[in-house]
Amino acid sequence: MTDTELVLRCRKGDSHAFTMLVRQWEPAIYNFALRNVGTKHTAEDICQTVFLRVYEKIGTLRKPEKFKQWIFTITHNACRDEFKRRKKLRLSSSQAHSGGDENPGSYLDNLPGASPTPEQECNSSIIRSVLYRALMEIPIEQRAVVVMKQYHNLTFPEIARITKIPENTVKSRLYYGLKSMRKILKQENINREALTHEV
Amino acid sequence: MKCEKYKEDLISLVYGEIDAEAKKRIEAHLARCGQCRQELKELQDTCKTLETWEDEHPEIQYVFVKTEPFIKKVWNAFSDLAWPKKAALSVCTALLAVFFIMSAAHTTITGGNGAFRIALGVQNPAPGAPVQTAALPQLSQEEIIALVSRMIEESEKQQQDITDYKLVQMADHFNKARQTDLVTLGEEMQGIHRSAQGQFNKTYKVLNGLIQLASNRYNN
Repeated sequence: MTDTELVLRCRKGDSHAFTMLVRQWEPAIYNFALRNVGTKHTAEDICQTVFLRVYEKIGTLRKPEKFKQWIFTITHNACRDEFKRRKKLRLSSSQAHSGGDENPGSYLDNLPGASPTPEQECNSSIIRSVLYRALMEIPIEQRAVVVMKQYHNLTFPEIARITKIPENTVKSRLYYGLKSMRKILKQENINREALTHEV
Repeated sequence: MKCEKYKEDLISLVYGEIDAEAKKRIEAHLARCGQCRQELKELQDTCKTLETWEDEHPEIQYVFVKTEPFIKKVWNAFSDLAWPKKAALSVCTALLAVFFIMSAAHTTITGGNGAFRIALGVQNPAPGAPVQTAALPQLSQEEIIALVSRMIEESEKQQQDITDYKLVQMADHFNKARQTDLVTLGEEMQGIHRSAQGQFNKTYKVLNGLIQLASNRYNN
């Protein structure tokens, strides 16, 4: 069943359609939030907030065929709220936090280790941790655009509407985001060849 | 930098989201600019590298509780009834409504030349009706003062009993809450201990892997 059909059924009060919508979109929303905010528990919280908002506001969605763009707008806004909350916490806290948005270890400690051998697990963890760190080191605005384009295949006009910025700014942010990430990956000696050999 | 203006086209080309005119423009530029060709290759490589980071599967349990206003709940319950019950309930509600309206309006129904009479109304003493009062015994001033003092004493004693009872209840409640908190704290501490142990084991495993990897490479 397509998203449009599910949205139309949700509007009529079909709770089964809403469950299907959640099941269908949960991985994408969770991973979008995870790559933006960097911690699993916050990503889970954002996921819940997003689906609660979807449930409450689905009646106001004028074009059901634009559901993907709509749900990503909600998620993007939820992530921005989270960054604002962190900023407030940092300002009010006497503890000095330096560097990225959150301690990378909090996510890295929870990386799933499904690889059978210690060597593979080790390589996989190292590469993932470097990718994670590279993503967390770029500015929030660039990160959001990189994640939307790279992992969710949203078009440039869609990203522009979600982030409420001109299309050229989207491309510009993506360009500088990827360039910064490339620099970090180079420093860590992670390249495509290394990945194909080691993973 | 003169190539700066091509960065948007370059990104569009990387993701294959480019119109014909822009494609022509960037291809012409790439044909004569080695730096931008290198840039394009690096951007494509970065994208490929990022692609290796696979999605994770969330393990979230959702609990959505639908809250409805009381009126809607009543209406829903009514809608779910079978039609005979629905009809009976409707008739009863209508009769009750009529009864209340007639009561409020103090309606009197008479029939059969006064042989049949029903009067409906809210309980109000009719004007001029005698009000029954109990005769109070005549007491002297001292007796009244003594009576009032006794009443005050009784009232204070009653208040004291209530306060004592409430205090005992509060102490009991606090004790129970403290015990529950201690149990929860103990469980949390155990959880933290288990989690720390798990993390430690994981780190130990990764370090072992690293050492093994390093020694393998060193031997090679």
